[in-house]
Amino acid sequence: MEIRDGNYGSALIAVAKNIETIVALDVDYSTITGSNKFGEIYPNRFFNVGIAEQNMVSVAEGMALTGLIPFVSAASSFIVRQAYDQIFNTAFSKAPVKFVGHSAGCSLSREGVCLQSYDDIALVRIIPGVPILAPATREDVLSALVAAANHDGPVYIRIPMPDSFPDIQTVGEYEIGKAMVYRTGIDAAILTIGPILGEAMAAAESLQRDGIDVMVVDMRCLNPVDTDIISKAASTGRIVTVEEHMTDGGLGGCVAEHIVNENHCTLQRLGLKDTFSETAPTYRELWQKFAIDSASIAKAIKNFSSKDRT
Amino acid sequence: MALKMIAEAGSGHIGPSFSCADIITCLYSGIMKITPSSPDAPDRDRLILSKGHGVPTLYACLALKGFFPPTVLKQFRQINSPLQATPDVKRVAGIDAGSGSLGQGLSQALGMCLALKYQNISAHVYTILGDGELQEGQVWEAAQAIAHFNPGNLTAIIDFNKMQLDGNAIISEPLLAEKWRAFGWHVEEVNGHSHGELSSVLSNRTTEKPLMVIAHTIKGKGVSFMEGNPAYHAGVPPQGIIDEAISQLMQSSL
Repeated sequence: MEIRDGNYGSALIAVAKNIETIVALDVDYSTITGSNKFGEIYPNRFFNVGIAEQNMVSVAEGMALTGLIPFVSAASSFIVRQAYDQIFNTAFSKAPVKFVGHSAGCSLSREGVCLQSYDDIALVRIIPGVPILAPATREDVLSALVAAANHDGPVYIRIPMPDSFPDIQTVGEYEIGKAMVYRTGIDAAILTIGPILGEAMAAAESLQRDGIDVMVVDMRCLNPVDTDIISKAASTGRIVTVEEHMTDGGLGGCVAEHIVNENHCTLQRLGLKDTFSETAPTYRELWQKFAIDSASIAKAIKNFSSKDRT
Repeated sequence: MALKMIAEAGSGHIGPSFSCADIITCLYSGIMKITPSSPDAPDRDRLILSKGHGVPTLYACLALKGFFPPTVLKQFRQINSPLQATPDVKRVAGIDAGSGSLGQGLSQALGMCLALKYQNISAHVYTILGDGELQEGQVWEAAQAIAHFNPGNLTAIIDFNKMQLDGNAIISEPLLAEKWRAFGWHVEEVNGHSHGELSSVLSNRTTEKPLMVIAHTIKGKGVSFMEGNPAYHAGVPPQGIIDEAISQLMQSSL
């Protein structure tokens, strides 16, 4: 079993090997998240509570107040929206529950709107003290879980279906509050969160052929966010944020909040703008529809005019 | 003490605090295995006050047991106070879980029980729910899950005072015991103001199933004009009325 294959369950098995206080819970979604694999290896450490997200989160809170480190997993739309008050109260008590929002963004497009998520980052970001980690490559899943396990408090981890990860080598382990630069450049900056990194890298390559040299950053973490990187990006004068999320309140919103006092920098936020999503055969159709694919990103960069920088 | 705390603060839930006073007192008078000087002892028994707004009584009890000095009670509901309006696990020795948003305590209790079992720690977890609180769906998620996982070290108690903020029970409550039995629990019904009946069912467990104690109580118990009166669910009456209430409570404790 490949622990760096982007499967949450596989990665959790590796993390839990040396930390005996880690247990896992799921809500009849374990064959999708892969937590069932964890349950096969560690049957006394796995609790499938059935389709009851609120119960799952509060059960985990009770466990976390009693010496354990529970990882709870469900579709990201359901865990955040169904169990929002329970997540809030867990965070209020600083109980070290790790919330895994699976099937994030567009990645499970074929199952319809309910199983896609475009608001989880915004909703969790506003709860004090809950770092948000979003793996962008297959190997990052393990790295993010390790960072989460070692963090003294609650954490939210946003994981897509593994087939939407790009075929990119990761660059370095996850650290809470640290972004990772994948490409340096001075003409503009593309900041991404999650697997859409692949589209940003493809856009950067095509822009290079047109003589435009862009920085690409995988932001990796919000709340805390890497403000140094945002400043570096702002120094190019032109930032494009890209996310499988609403443009308000997610990465784009966060970056906007931080650059408001920077020297002149123009920001374009790519993502869903005041719209619901819909069913699609794959995430690729939705990436195109919501203009977050590589062609749309490249087009956004070219839309900056010379007036957009000081 | 709870009444004075609420009067001093200028706000609080008198009715709900009184109706569970005997339950809480009973738990802390020999039922629960606790040591005030070691509030974080891993093998202590735990109490989750799922009806968190009844916390004045719990604070009074914890002070009397020596978890913190009684002088701290004056700070109830003040700013920067350890004694928040509903239990805050970060601020007070002796509080085992946060609550206030109704419906979550039973789930928390299951989590604590499973965690204790996993770590081979012998300890019991008690939780007190309000009957209005049973209107929250999560309670029934937990009810099913507890019957399914049946950790064996969990006791739930319903402070069945048949009233809530808007008046008498809004959703009718026939067959309350039968509901819990249908969910797979063992149910005992007692007079929630009788220490004898409470301690008997709490210390003589005769079942392998999860235990639900339905404690029949009176909202505002102990003060004649508060008993059964939804007007005293929340809010503080004028000082004259407080004094009369205190006088009645002192009389009956003699």
